[in-house]
Amino acid sequence: MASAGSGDEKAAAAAMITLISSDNEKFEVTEATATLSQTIRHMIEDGCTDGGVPLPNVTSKILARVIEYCKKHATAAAGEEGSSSSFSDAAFLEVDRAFLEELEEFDDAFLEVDRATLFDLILAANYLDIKGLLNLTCQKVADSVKGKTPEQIREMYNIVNDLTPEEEAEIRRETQWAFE
Amino acid sequence: MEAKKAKHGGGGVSLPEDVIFDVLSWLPVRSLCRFRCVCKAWRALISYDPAFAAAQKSRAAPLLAGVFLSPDRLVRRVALDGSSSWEQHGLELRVMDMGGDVLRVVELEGAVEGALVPACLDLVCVDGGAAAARLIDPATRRAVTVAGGRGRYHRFGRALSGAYKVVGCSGFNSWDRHDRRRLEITTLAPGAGAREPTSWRQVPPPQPAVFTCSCHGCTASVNGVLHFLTGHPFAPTWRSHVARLDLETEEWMTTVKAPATEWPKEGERWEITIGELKGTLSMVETVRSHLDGTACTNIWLLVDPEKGVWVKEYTMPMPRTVSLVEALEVLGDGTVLLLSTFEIEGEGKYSYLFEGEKTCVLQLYDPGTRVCKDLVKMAGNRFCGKTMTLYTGSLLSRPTNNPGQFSC
Repeated sequence: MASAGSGDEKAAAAAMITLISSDNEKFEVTEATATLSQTIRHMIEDGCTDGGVPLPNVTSKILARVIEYCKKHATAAAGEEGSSSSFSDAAFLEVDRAFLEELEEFDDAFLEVDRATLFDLILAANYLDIKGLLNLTCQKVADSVKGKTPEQIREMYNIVNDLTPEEEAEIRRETQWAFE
Repeated sequence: MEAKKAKHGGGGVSLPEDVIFDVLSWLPVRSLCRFRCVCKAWRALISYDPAFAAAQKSRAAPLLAGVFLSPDRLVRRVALDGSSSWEQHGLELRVMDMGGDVLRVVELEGAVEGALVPACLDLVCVDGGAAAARLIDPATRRAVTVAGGRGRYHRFGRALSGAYKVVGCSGFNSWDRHDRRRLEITTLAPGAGAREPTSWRQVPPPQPAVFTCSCHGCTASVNGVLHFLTGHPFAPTWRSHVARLDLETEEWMTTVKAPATEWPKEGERWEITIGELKGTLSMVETVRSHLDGTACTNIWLLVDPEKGVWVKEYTMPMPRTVSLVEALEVLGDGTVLLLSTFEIEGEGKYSYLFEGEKTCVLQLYDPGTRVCKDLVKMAGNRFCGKTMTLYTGSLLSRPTNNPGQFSC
């Protein structure tokens, strides 16, 4: 029994990956968590994760948040796999529903950050190729600008209007309905 | 790489260039049309980048097209005796989102009849009856008229090669001549002018000859195949088979059996429509029992066209006033977009024997909770043809950037 136990521990230990942020902080995560990132998944497949994975584009503050997201969603992915065969089962559907709701709540709370952090998360998700996180954060920004006017957008994001007044008038005339 | 390094000013945080594409592609068409005048870079991305248009379309909620009465277009009618009167008669094609927000209006000049032909394509076909069919590109507002055939109805689809084809279906005089109905087909040439002379090719009837219904709910163009519900006209379940015309070869394929539905019991009323759902042919049957006042809608999917295998994908409880249900699309979250027709209940209005006043509602069915949520009520006095189709094109593409399917 003891040897079997230590074998399990060994397997678990082998499945740990070390991620190193741009400011040299080290994060130990499970392989399941790390492979939500396609970039890291490919590195693991190529066998180049020994001695840790340096992520020169991601600060420790942002990496900590990204890992928090991946941990939660890796559990979700594992849960889905486990119950996918029993879709017809009402009880399982009920469990899935509750779990999805919890995940949604997590995502909502996760996105309660300032705009600069949100952009850093988008950049990190883009670099690490974490589709779910990229979609989530981009949608959040999109939702916040959806109803804005072009003037408000320029002010929010320090964009200089380089269109001539004629060009701007032309666009407004073409799609008048979009401005109503 | 970090956003905070970008300069602050005016209380704003700069949007890193790398994320602009990803963020904007989540926005609806209305916001994007407005944001074209933020700056030159945004205008270029939104209006002229095909990759952006494709990404936006894949993320945005589906767009729908329908034919409506123009609210403020009067048409002058001249009677034989020379007297004239003005009638509010014009028709228009509207492209709208699921919330009923109208994004584009294309006036249908002179089309007195005008029934939308469901096709789920980037061109929209409006059938003008015996006169002609009109193909419209809502993105560019260009239109081509296909005329000169002997068809009384027109159907529309896209062959696997990408060619757009219009099928003209002749009318029929009596039930016993149903097998002599004629079909003819024509190809819309790329770059065709507004009124190209149309050359029609005859399609021989399927063997063995069957009654093919050509009403809009009984035809569907899916994956390059035009489907017709068929069967013996006097059988209670006369829509027993689906005849399939390959739009590429213009030949009939093997007829498939409709799913094994039960025969209607006494006091039951069945309505069936076919369409495209989840990339395959769907059959939507709405069953009402007037004995116990229950109703439900079943959606079958033809999962294996070669072997004729159907799967009953959804069974949806419906109110007893339901008349007809069309399934338009399954959204990313698994909900099903429906266009449902209901009879309006009221004194003397509701009877299962007679067709009463009806109302059309765009609905979203959630298979998890088995509840239908109303999205938009189609204005009954303005909505024509009682059908809508998905519009798969992008309203963001501009005429200058997109040569379009045809010019005029």
